Amino acid sequence: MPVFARTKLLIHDDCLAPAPGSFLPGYGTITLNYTGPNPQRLYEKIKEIFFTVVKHDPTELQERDFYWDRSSEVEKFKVTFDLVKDMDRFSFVQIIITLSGEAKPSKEFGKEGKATVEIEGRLRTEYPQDTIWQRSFFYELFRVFYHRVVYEEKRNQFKVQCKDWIYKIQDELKSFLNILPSLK
Amino acid sequence: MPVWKFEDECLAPERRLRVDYTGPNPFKVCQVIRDMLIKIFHAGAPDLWERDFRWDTTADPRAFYMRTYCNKAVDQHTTMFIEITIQGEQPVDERKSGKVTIFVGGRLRTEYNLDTAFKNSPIYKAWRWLYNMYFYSEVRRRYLTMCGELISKLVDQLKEVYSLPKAV
Repeated sequence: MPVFARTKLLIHDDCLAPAPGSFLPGYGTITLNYTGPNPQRLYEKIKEIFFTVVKHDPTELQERDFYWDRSSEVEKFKVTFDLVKDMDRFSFVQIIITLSGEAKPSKEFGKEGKATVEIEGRLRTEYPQDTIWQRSFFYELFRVFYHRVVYEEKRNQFKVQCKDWIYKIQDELKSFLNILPSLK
Repeated sequence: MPVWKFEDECLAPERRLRVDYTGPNPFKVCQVIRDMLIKIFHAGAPDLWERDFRWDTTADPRAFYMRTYCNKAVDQHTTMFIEITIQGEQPVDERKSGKVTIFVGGRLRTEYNLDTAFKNSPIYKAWRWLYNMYFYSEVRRRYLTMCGELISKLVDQLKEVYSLPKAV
């Protein structure tokens, strides 16, 4: 959960972005395209994977956008899952998974179609700056020192953890869709 | 009357949840939303407002728009303010497909009235500030979690209206 302060200093990092100064442009998202039987089952599976991989509190996961079209034989859907996981007092990880696709009836599998899964991760650190003390020069001096000496390393660990969760989610999804046999 | 107000989004860092549905009978949600709010938020009649309702019968499909609020007090100082906006098109023939978009958002509002001379004094303000910072901010965070949880529950029930898949 974010820091609920009227004024705050926010440090944002994309978990999947390359290191600062990298000559590789890179993407901040992972995309997975699937065509085959029962793509609509991914909807239930994503929530389950979130819970097993991140072990989050049930209230930390929300379905931000939910679109389901049943006007024709082909069911179209688009769902955005948004997980906000607290790492400590100042930082939280936000993992956003967007599932979109369509499914039509099939004699062989029940339903078949295609789905696209996009995964994005963010790490945010927020320092409150509400009070006169928090806005003072001495506090800022102390905060910068603390951030550079202690917290920077901790943030890097959070970023690695965030990346690790995303890759695990990706592997679990591949395994569920039988795209890649699980190595475990 | 001077008031100290704190307002935070229940679904922070974003503002609202969105549900889009295309299929038969999209207007159904407008008929059940009030009962749902009463059941989930334990709201009474004075806590609910249907601020805006529009229903256009001149064309097919019939356009509708509805804005509902629920303002539920959680303690002496704090209220949960839930806002639901429903917009869609209902065909005259109920078997035909229409569409609806539902937005659900919520805010937690805390107000300290400073309506007496004592409450306007620096001692009271300092005490209130300390109380809020060291005790009440934790309570508010719990309320924010509760508010988000109730909104998710409401959205799940809205999906049930259209028999949409609900994740476990």
